[in-house]
Amino acid sequence: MAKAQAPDIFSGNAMDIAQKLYESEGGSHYLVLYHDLVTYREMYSHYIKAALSNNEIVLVLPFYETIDSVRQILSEDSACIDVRKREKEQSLLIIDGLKGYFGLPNGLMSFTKQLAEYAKTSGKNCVSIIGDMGPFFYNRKKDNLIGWELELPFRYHPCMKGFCVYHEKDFGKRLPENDKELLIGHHEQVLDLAA
Amino acid sequence: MAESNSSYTGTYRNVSKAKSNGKDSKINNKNTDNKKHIVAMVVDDDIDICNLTRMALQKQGFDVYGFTDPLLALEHFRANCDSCNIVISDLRMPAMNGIEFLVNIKKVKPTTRVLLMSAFAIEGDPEYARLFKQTKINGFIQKPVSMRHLTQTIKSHIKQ
Repeated sequence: MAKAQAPDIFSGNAMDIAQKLYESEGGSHYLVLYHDLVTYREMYSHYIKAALSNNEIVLVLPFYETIDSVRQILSEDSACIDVRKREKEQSLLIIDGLKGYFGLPNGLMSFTKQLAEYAKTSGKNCVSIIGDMGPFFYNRKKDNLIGWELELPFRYHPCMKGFCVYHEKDFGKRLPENDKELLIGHHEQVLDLAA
Repeated sequence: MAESNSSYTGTYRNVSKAKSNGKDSKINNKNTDNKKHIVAMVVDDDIDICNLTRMALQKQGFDVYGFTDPLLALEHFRANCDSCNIVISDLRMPAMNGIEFLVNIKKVKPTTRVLLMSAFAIEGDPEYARLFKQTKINGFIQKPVSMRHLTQTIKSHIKQ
């Protein structure tokens, strides 16, 4: 259930937000707003690099860029991640958001539970999920978005962190005020990634 | 790089301005004498792709308006639809997806040729399948696309 108390809103640049996500406790459930793809890429590059170094499993669900684009960004200088190796050892999973939210055989929730189990058995610290919520706006599933979000717990299991990522143009222009308030109230913290 | 500040990514030559300027007007007339002059609008939320496409088409002699924000692009089109021959839009964009955008373009001026462009496979995409028929999208371009192929596709649609 959503907490009545409004969460903190923290604004910062790509490094600030990546740091904030990295320092979050297991079980954290944050809402991240980004204003442009370039800064978002910078932010997730920093975060994923740090999370992988911390022996975490990272699941990324991009929407406004292809999974190959994400692979390329993560391979480049700022992150310099060996993406092929990380994907092979299943510490990094990149799934297109449309498939992730609407096309997995048993659904995303079931998939993330399996991932959490795998993390436990393989000695990983935790599973981070970075999901762009864009598919809900694209696929005429906007009404399902609120239901989906409210079904997620206010806090996840301690071995999981969930970051619901919204492009500001989707969040700001496509959602009515009451839905925005509901979503904000259902997350522990709102992080505003400044352009 | 602030995308939000760069929603309109510029044009090579403003048509109305060119008509009132002797030098540019000659260039423009030369173009229209030999072949139909093409004014295109390119909309892609990725500013790099938008700029790259715009500059490549400009090299081919097109006048190109580039936007990263479909809402601003639509506003521009409403004010300038008579001078625009063809609109090329990315599919996945925040605020308004490419199909919704092109539906709106067709509402403003049904005779405008519209092309959808995407790096994603569209087979099996329910949103695309649902809207493609009713939208009367004139063509689809799979990214990555060579500029030669893009130019040829645009020219072939303008001739039709």
